[in-house]
Amino acid sequence: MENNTVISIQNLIKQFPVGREFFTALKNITLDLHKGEFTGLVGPSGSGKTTLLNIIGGLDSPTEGKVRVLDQPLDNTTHNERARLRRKYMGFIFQSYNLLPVYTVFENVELPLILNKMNKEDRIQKVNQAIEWVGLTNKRNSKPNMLSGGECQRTAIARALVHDPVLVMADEPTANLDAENSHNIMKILTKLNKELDTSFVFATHDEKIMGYLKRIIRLEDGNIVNDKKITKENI
Amino acid sequence: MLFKIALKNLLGARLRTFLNVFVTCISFFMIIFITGLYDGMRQHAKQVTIDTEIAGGAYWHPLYDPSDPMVFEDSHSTLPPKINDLVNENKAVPILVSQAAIYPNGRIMPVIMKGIHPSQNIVNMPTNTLEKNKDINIPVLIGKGMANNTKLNIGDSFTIRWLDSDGTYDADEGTVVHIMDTENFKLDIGHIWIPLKKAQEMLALENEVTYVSYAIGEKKIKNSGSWIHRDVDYLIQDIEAAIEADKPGNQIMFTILLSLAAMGIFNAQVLSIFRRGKEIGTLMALGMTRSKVVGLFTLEGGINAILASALTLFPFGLIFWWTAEHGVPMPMDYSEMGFMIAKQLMPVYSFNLIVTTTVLVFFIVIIVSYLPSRRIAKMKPTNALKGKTGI
Repeated sequence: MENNTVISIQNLIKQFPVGREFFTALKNITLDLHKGEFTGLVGPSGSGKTTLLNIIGGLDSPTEGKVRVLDQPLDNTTHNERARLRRKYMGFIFQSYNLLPVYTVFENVELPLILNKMNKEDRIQKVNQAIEWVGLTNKRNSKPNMLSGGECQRTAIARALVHDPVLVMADEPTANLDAENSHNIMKILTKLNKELDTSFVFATHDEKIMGYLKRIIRLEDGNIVNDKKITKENI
Repeated sequence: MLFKIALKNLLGARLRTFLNVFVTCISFFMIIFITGLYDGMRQHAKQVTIDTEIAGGAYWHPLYDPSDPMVFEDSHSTLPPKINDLVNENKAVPILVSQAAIYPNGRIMPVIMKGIHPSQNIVNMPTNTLEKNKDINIPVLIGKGMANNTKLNIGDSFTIRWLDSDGTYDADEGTVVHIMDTENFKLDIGHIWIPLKKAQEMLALENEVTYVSYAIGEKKIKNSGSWIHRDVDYLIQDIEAAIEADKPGNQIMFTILLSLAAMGIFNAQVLSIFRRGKEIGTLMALGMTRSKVVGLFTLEGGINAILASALTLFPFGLIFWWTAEHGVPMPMDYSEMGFMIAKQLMPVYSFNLIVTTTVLVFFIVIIVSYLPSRRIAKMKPTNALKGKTGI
């Protein structure tokens, strides 16, 4: 990675067809994100933060512009290459957790390791460690329907981090949680960010979590209107 | 890897898996059961014909043609010595065939009158009932269908008119001594059976017969004179032809059953797969490729088919075994309609039927799992994550 740059975006435009017209969700976005950053894409609904997150994650493709993630040009890669990138180096946390309902906590967390073809012994060790990080050891055999919202999100975090990704993307991770659970989740993520040096990108408009972010990129109508690094001085 | 995930998905989704497997299993069962019944029906018809009519084969008078009553008048003679030896050794039963007319309850009805040796045990007919009442002038054995048509009961007398060998019409009273319950309508409808000696006496054809049926296991004799040997294959050729003619119908029925099964399985699979759009999106986000997603869901379908095969063996296997052993009772007697259908139909589940059905249903499940998962895997992961599956 050049200069510790995890994500490099230049002149990104994303348009969606709406009837015969096109709606421009992202307008000429240019930004770099670095290793270990704890970044929030913030803004009101429809500002383009989830779209930007999806493009960074290779789940969607740009209409124009260049996007490099972990030194891979996403605008030039195949579905399979993007899938490999996500599998090896990325983790995802979703607003509605997206846990597989028929799997236990352990099995949900184990899934990325199975996809990465890790052997069973290593898998068990890694999964147990990840479950311990998020404090769900006593729930490892529970299925999602037996967990609270906070526990589900902690499971999703363990799943996103279990394979030691370089980059974790979280789309509104606290939107379905109450204040206490939101703070707990953010404390876990902050701790993991420090311990693992994993880069985090959040798409959020939840004011409760702003205080945890080290960099806030504010989006409005598909434009970056503010990009501010949070230091002790400007808190 | 895919197998592990597919198995985990199936075992984890207990009720959904059970319902999918059950639908497939019911399809397996219905196809095998109904086709087995149908095969059993056809095989039964063949067996009944051999048991009650053909036995091991026959020797015919050279002019005899069972489908042409006009030749009955001339198709009789004394038996060639070798065939006569068979009859004397009780290894063959002689039968004399002629046309006649009966007048039950004042109506006239043309019939085929057959004289048969009452004590024979070559064909499965209750001919011994013909010799029980020695004082009856012409004891007559008829079938249930004939009894219904003529409204005759045991003990009823009716006039029989026939043309003897001198070309003279004659008539006498016959009395029903027994009504046989046979599934072979060819012995029943339009037939009356009387003792051979009586028939020969009535027709003035002493010692003459039209054909003989010989016992199962008897070899063809070398010198049968001018009489024509007819083996079982020849004698059942009309049934074989009927079965052959019925094959397209059978295939259509099999196809309809298979299509119904396919629709049921397709419905279950489509619902199952399209309901799992969010799960597919999640798998994609976690780095599963589209081809692996398609493979996973197709594999789930395959495992589903294997589980369904296993479930079909048990408990449905018990139903197969029980019905094959004890038969399936039919709601009515079809023999009066001219169908050779047993009252207790024994299905025949051939190895061929089971293997063909299993392979076909397996492929259907694979295809109906592959098609929707291929479609859903083509979706944008972002739409799949939102559960927007397009149905």
